[in-house]
Amino acid sequence: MKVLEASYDIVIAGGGGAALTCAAAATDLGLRVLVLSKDPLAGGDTKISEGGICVRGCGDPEDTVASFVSNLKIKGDDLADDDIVRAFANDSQHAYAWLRKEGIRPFIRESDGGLRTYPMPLGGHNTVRSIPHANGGLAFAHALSGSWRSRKYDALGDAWMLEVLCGGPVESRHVTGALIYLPVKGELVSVRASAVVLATGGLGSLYFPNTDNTRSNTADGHAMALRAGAMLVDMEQIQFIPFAMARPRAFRGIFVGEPAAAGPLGVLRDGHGRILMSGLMHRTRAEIAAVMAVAVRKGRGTPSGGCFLDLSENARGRSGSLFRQLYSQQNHRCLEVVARAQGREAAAFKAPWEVVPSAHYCMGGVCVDENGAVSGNGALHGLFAIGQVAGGLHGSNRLGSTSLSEILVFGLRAAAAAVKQLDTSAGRDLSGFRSEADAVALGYERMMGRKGVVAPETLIRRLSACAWEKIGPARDADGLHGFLREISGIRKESSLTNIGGDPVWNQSFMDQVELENMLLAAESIARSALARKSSLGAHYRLDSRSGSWAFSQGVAFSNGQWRMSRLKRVVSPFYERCRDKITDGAKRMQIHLLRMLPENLQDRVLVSKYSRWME
Amino acid sequence: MKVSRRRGKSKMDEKKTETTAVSVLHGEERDAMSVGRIQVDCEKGDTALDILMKAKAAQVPDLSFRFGCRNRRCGLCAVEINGEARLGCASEVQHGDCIGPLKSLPIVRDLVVDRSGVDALLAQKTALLKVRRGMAECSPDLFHIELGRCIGCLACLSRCPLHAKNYPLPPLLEKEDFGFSTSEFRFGNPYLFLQLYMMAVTDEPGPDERAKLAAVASELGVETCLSCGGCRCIRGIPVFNLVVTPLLKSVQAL
Repeated sequence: MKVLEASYDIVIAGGGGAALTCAAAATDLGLRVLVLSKDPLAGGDTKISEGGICVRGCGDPEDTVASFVSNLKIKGDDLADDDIVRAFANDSQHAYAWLRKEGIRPFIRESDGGLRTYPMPLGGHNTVRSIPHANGGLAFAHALSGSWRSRKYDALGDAWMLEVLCGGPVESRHVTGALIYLPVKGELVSVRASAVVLATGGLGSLYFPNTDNTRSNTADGHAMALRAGAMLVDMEQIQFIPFAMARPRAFRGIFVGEPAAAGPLGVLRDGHGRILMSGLMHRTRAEIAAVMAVAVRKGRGTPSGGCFLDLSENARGRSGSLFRQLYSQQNHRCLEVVARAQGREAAAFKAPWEVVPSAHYCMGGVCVDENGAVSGNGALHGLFAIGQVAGGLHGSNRLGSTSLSEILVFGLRAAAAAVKQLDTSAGRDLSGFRSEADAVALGYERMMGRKGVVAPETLIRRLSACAWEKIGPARDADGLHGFLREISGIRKESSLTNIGGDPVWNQSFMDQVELENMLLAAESIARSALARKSSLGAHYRLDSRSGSWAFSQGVAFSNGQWRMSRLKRVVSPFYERCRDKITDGAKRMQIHLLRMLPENLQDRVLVSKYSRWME
Repeated sequence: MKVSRRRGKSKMDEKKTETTAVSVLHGEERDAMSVGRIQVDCEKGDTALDILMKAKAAQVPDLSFRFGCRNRRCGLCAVEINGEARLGCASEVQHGDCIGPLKSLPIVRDLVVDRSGVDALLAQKTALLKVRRGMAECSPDLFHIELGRCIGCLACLSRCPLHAKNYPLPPLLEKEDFGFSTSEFRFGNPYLFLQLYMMAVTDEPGPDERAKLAAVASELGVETCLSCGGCRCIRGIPVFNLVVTPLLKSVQAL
């Protein structure tokens, strides 16, 4: 293994929005930056997202920081860290302005120079607050690409950070660098750094193919953080988007609509056509996903293990043609997916869509402070986590369009914080670095050329099938204990896998790395899910008991031992929570009443609703 | 409305004894790698990506290929199907088809090609240009939206006579910091021209901007494009009209 002569101030793992924002800001602040991305740069979930970003106040002059904070906290069941939420609400405008200077182009109204927003509040928001972009997430990828290419910093695609290297005594451990695998060159390399930033995204591939995440989301940052001694929080809070294609195989898990896409009159049906749930528009993703998972468990699913989303009622009458128009305006990309996957009849709302929940976002993640600096588990200086891999912002439920702001806000904050902490780490002893790095690299070097009995790929498929069943949208104690035993079994077998000997593009080695990372993440999810005995937010327990909820579940791992802990959280004022419940209840009541109206009247009401939305 | 429940197996589940070939570049020893072909069962509706995943699950556990979103947005899964560059996730295959790597870039293993040469060339040329910065004051127009549809799949390199001039490649050069060898391309390609154009051109490019861009485009060999039928973009972006033609014009004005 090679040790680089060069050293960096900051090494960033990831290649999406959080990584590139942090890299650009850090470069502008004078730091020497290295970005390492498994996939080609400016990709990740950022590139494939819908492209709507949440910016406080962009659609509503009354949208104060306090109102935004309250909205975020309450929808997340107050599991969020107050400091993190406040930082997010304070910085969203500045962060988006930063990206506009880097080249992203929203639509600007000619009448008043304001920015065009989505016409309605996105999922969970209490007001209009989100900005769409032509070409969706691709617009972000291009702006971020420009931000990278117009600056001089080192950024490598096809570069895998394997481990965060740490040193120092227990009371003041600090980051010393990173161990890297370069598959095209076929080399293991270590690099010294004063700060390491994990911007590795989520863990959707743990549930493959029941995910709409990009493939590279294999919990790498979650695992590296755990192995470095950091704590994860809220790992039981995994957001499953309810409406993804259940079939055919090529489309399994691909997103086709938010709850709002059900329209006012869409209903969820089981495999026999019986109604499971109505009023979908104003339900949370978690509620719908749980109902679907339970139905399938009880044997009421469709042939492909999903449910039917029946939108046909929306398409009737005069309002029907407006509904279609509105739909193709707002959701044409999803309709195209439906047409290709399940046919034109389905895309024309004449046949129901066979849908299944899909792992979409991990609200949980590394425990950090409001600048993305790892905190909460003893001293560990110099490690940061930003973007989806970080926890503490969304609590039990992520509001729509917030992840694109999250990557900018915390990318910028982490860069500024890294500059500050650089001063205090000047003069740290880095001479022991080589021997520490060698020791860590040895484990990986030994893997290559290992003759084994099973391919890592086989174990990954077993793990993901099991994860979907046991730590998916519906969980119970028996299933979770069984899953922990399964993980233990897979982990034993993972030490006996067959790995190729050629260091150049060693696919089985790369699969092994991802397998081990996903095993750690899966265990942290299962343990957190067991520890939280009552359903809350995205975490649905079939065997739910009542219990206290104003805490975040923390999980850490050291010396082979798992340690669970609880982080106290600040509960929103009672009257605010009440008001939120009443508002939600009123919306659901409205939809409920609408369904009960005689057809003519219903049609008229809908025509006027749609006409307003289309302006 | 009536919801009918499918009885028994659907047509999709019927097994057909049809196969698609996958080209693999494999072998334990780097110097003894050979190209081979494996046959994979092909069912109706299978995409090229489905075939690769099946092959990995059932036949070659360390089969190397890239993919990301499975939904045509990320561009990672570009491969050649019967010699034509396509997105693996978007292309249905059938009996007798053959899936192989993009031949426009150096093959690393099986279906994985090395993209670093294009990145290196783009980085080199971007450094010579002043990348436009600052908040745009108006909405993007159709031109910008169209250019912004590029997903960086690099399929357009496959039929580009200008990119083809990069071959044979000069000996691998060692880049100082990382000892990271990268194939040094000299000539451009549609993706490269589009990226440079997007970064360097404001709504109304001034004479300075035009001149700099023209110089860089000329270095990249854009004059070759005069005798070309036009760029082939699998997303249908009219790169030749929107990007190459203006570049040619500004080169001629130099």
